[in-house]
Amino acid sequence: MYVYDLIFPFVSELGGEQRFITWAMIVDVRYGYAAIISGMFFLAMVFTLDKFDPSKKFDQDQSGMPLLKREWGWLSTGVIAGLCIFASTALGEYLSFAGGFLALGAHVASLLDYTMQSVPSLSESTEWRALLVVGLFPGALLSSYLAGTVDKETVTPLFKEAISSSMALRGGSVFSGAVLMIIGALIGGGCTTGAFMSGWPTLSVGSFAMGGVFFATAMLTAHVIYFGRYHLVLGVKERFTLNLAND
Amino acid sequence: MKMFTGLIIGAVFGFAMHRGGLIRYSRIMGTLLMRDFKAMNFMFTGVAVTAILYGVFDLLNIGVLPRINGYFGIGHIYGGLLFGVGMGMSGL
Repeated sequence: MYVYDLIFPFVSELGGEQRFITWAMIVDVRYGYAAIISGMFFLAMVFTLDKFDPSKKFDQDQSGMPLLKREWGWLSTGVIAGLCIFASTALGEYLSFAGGFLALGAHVASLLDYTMQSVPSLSESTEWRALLVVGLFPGALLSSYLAGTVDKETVTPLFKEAISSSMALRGGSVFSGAVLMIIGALIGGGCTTGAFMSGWPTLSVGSFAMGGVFFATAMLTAHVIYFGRYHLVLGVKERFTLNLAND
Repeated sequence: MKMFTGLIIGAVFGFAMHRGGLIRYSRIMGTLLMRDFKAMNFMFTGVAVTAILYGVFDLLNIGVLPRINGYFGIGHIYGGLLFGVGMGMSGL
């Protein structure tokens, strides 16, 4: 965040003046109709994808486990995520974790009497976004505690088999990847939540551009790293019966 | 008072992400390698639910208007490339 803040004057000039356009504006359709059509299209797509999901047959059978112990499905958790995004908008805010980290960074900096260039003034909205990020951790921790998966961190089996069993290498890849992600998100206009999950429902052309570029790049990067070892994804899942506790 | 709703929404979102297995390395890498669709289905379900709710509220003329992210051309390319490389190498 602070690296981004240092380069903010330069990157804020990239691409020139912002245009707040949606694809509904481009094709001249009322936003409500376009949003519902998009939503229905995405729902049809995920139900179709689910039918052809090659990993499902290797999922651990958790049918006999209590609700709070097992991993939940994509539909229930996806609906909860969607309701969170909608609730944020209804409150006049915007659910974005990259923006949240930036706001949190600005509030922490203000404690040291430093004002970030990218967040020149603090407000109720920046407090809201900062607390959004702060809330993530106890929420995930509570889920992990209830599932009984709070444990010492180890290298996940897939990383161990495909790349290395070194915790330093795994930690280094997470840290350096996260640094690139936060800087990229702040330059490009959002992260997986801000540009994609919160941005695509608004039909924003900018969010579609950012989401499209980062997903394509991430898929290419993953394919380069796993070149010749793609079989490990399902092979490791089957051999280790991967679940919330060991992955 | 309103700012604490941010804390609650963040906590619920964090709970759902963990509980849905979105913190799992194999889920994210599986999605990027097109061998495990769960993370993708989670994200697109969230997008779909939000889009339908926005659409219904718009057609009913109830004032829940989302903020539109700006389009700024080449900035999405630079940002998206950095973000994508980070995502692909970390599995986050």
